[in-house]
Amino acid sequence: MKKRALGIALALGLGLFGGCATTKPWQREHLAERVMAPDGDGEREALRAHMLGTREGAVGGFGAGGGGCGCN
Amino acid sequence: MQLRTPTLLLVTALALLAPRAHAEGEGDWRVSSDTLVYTDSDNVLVVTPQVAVAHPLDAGGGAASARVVVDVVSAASVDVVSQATKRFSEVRTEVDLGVSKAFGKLVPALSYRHSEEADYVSNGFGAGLLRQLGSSDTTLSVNYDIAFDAVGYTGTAYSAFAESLRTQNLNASLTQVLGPRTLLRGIYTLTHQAGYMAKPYRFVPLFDSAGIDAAKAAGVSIDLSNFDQYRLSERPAERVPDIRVGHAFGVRGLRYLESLPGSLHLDAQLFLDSWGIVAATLEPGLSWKLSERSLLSGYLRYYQQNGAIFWRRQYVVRAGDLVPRWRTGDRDLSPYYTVTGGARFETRRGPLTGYVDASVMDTVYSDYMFLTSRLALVSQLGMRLEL
Repeated sequence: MKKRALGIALALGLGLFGGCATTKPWQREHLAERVMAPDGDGEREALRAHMLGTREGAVGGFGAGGGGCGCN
Repeated sequence: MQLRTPTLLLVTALALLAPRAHAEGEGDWRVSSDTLVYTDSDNVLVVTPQVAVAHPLDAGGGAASARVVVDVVSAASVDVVSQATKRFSEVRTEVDLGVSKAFGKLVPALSYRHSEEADYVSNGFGAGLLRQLGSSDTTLSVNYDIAFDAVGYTGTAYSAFAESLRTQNLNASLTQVLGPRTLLRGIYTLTHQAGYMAKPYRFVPLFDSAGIDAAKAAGVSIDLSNFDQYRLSERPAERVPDIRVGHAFGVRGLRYLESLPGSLHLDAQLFLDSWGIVAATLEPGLSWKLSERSLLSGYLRYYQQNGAIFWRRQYVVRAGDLVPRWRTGDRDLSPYYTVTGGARFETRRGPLTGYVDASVMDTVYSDYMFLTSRLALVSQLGMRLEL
């Protein structure tokens, strides 16, 4: 049941993403700006994720992965 | 002495990168330095400096990078004090190395991580693949990493006490440009941990109904100041299941706002694991372009989780009962929520970029015997130099 729900969610997500129109190069001005970087500053975010990883019980996603530290 | 291995790894990495960088001549070095200072009302102070270097290897996103992170921890938290231990200090050092190379629209990557502290050593290996699907509007990223950890005991040789933990993470994300002003990213992480996940220093107090009744009769709730008075003499070591499987689902949206000008971002995340923890995270934020050089950002973060299925505020046993199979005093396995508010200022002057970030984190524990709340201040500052 869980696998089926996951499969449906994945298919829906891919369907939604795949149906998007292509953005032309001359339309990408704002997308290229710093404020639109989906990863932000890599080193800054890595340090923040490192701190949150020891303060929050959840792992993965946009946070830190599990393991590598005995600091909890 | 503790810095010897990571330093050696970093020097080796830089030596390997340097000739490559000159040979390619396609990009510049980027040197980064950051420091994070965490302090809270539970007597914990952590200072974490970080230094990183990176060099692009091609125009398609390939790069080589090296990073060193050091955690200097000084703590006299309830977690420490409740074990009849005074303040402790320790240093943890981590080195990360990564390399990626573009082959058309495909960017494979490899990474290695080594970290060590007085009682913990970890080695992690990762491999990833980044690929643009169809147009440049869709990017798929898949990463796998595995870490082998050795858990020791301070002052004791690993030959006398050593436990192991193996952690695997499989991460997949899809980033889609939805239009000239909107980006959306979906992410999923599968985490599998197998091995020793308890703390060797943590012992769990046990109570019987007589002790609980005595506290009630005295009109007090059992807490850090009086738990020794009501607990049983037996105090077993913490023990948790040796397998943990977690699933994290996240969505990140970014929308450009011409009226600011700047952007609005929103992260939403759900985490579930085989220990019964369900956690939700919501992080909205705004970034303003003050000028072509400077940015000001503000953000909020809300994190909430329930407790693990074997979490108990007090482990109460009856006469003749066995000690509970799973028992823990780890407050990260208890129900709690955290509200964070923060702001960041970032500015660029020629090849130099700097930022300062400050936030306040307020955590409320609803079912933890030793602590009901914690207020933390986090400050982070950093500089980037493009050479």
